Amino acid sequence: MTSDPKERLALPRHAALKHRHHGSVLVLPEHAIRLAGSGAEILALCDGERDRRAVHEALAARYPDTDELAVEVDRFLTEMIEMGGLEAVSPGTAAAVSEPK
Amino acid sequence: MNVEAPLNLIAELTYRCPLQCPYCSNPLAFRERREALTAEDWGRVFEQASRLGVVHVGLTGGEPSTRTDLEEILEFAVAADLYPHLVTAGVPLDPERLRGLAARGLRSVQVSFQDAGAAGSDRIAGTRSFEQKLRISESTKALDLALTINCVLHRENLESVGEIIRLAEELGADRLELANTQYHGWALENRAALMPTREQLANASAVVRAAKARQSENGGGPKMLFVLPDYFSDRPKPCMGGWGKLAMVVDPTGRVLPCHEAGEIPGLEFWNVKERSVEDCWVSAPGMNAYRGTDWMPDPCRSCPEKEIDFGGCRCQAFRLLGDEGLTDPACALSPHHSEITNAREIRTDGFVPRR
Repeated sequence: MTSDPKERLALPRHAALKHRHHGSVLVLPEHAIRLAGSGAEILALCDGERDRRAVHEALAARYPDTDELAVEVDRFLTEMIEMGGLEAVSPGTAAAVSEPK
Repeated sequence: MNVEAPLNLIAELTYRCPLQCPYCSNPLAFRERREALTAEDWGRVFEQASRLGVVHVGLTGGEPSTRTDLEEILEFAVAADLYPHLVTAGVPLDPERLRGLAARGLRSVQVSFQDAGAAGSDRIAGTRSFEQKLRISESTKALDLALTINCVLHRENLESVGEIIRLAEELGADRLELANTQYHGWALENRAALMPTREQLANASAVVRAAKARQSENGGGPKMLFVLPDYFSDRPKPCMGGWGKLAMVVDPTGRVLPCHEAGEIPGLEFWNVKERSVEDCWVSAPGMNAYRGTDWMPDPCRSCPEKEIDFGGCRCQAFRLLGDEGLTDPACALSPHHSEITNAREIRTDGFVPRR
């Protein structure tokens, strides 16, 4: 369910990213998830417009020569989706509702 | 000891509540306690907690909306960059006041229901409140705040779980907590009256599973939480995610605690934000350090591969049932005192005593 690379990624509507001395945290209404490493930076790219590929491209533009990170980023995104910290919106979902043909 | 920064602050603003639920988590002797913190005091707590690493604050009680300065308290939470979440029974809050709270930066509301319908909910709450809870839930959605519905489950409402799920769906809740009673405070007093049967739990569990299956087919609906009570699962709960680890409670008198009940354990020294900094109270109070980590553990916990999963269970439950909070939680089947639990789950009486 999380493998469609065309899914656009977005933080859940009521989520917030907070930054503290110990690192960054994704805060949900009744739940907080500590983000290791560049987790917050990756999540900040999930703006509802980018799909997985666009997230990878944006990261690659910032950090060239880190091809091997793509797998880890993918794993992180999938994990966040499973934990409810990230939402994947399939392309065409909205269109299918608004243009029933 | 290496003390982690907490993420979550549970701010118990008051002991007062218009409801009289028989499983109330207030201390039994709460009427003898003095509420000590002004809005400015809470502001200082929020600011210091945020600097310590806290990101989320649950404004709770008692019933937080009994405080006439809730608005001011909320403003302090927002100013401290905390994510503010209100835990309410829905009364004496009203939709107009909720609108004002939303305008001040409230993000999320948890509304408690006592059952799926007015008759049952009002009877268990001991107060007419169901209609008001509906209005507050609807207003929460209309204001585009996150809505959690919470219902504490026990023998008298476990069979309504299907209707409770429907209610949460109709209200458009984002989340539904089906919270089996934990036997602390007033709930322990009423344990035999609240104790479910294994059949009730199995049936409720099946209803939740079916609802989740329906959700994944249709898409959408509240995210549901239903966990078997520790009395019936033979393993203890990872209470608070570990003692003094993730969540900090500040009680209405200003004490910093690892959970809302730990302050009732005699002999444990906790410190007060009226006298010391939040960081001091969290990091250095002897009571906070008494059961941090795993070094304090006796067997069977000490040698158990699950000790980092459940942290030995609940210290308060060990104290209440065994008189020693340093023992393994008797909810664990490996505890030599597990019969305290297995015996209690067979004892049922009718008629609970409302919280007085």
